[in-house]
Amino acid sequence: MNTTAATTSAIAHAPGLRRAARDIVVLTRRNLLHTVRLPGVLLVSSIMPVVFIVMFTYVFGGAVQTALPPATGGKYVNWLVPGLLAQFALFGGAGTASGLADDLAKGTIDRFRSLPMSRVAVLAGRTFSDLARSTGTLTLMAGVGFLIGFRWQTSFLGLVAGVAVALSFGYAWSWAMAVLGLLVRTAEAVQAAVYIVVFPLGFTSAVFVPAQSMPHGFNPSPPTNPSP
Amino acid sequence: MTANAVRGLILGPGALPAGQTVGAHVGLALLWAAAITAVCVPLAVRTYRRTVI
Repeated sequence: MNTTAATTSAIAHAPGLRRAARDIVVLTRRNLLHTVRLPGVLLVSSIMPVVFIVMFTYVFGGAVQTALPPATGGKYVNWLVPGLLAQFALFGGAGTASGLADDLAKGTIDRFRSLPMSRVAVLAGRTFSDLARSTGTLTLMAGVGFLIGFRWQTSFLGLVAGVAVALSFGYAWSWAMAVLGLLVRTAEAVQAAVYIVVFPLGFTSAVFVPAQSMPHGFNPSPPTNPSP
Repeated sequence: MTANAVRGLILGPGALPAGQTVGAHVGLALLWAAAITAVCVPLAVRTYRRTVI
């Protein structure tokens, strides 16, 4: 009892940066608990990336095969999985928008405001928990890809580095999506708004097919294109 | 773009458009991520202040 009170007051009076860091940890944990304690949602959201991998591998695989560079070992799944890792890192970032909008609509953020806590922690905690979730998703995707024939052609370290690059990209978008979620505010509208941003970004890229066949302007190869 | 960087790291330079290096793609992808973060973090904090307070 006493320790709890002491800890609480220690947190309340800790200097700015340390307090913000603690608040961020607490809120990240809260958002992740939210995910874990809703196993239905967790299950459904982990099925989607698996469906993407399996579906695209077998639907596009045969048709696209001839357009693939030899480095894929002639297997579409080798081309697809790295692309989808990048894409789902972006999708994971998009979750930030709906998470924040949800917290706004339910008054959770009003509750946070009434507490002596760092303001930035609400946003940082949300983006960190979405990053953690994306890490889980991407690991699962690499695993499922492996089961249906995906093999890295460089090294395991290459795969880890690739996932890290994808996650850093997703984390950056997470902040952009935070702006969107705060502006749009209702969960349904956020879904629509997210699709407007995410789908053009996701598909005008080299995720599914080599981009050289796309017309100029869609081709994501130039450095001016922030697509995954 | 990030897809190319990830692919380069996992499949090797042969998976990229001819004449492009893995390092350049990775650098570019990280640069974009940094740029987006640099713009959107202040923007998000500002929007949060406006929305909530």
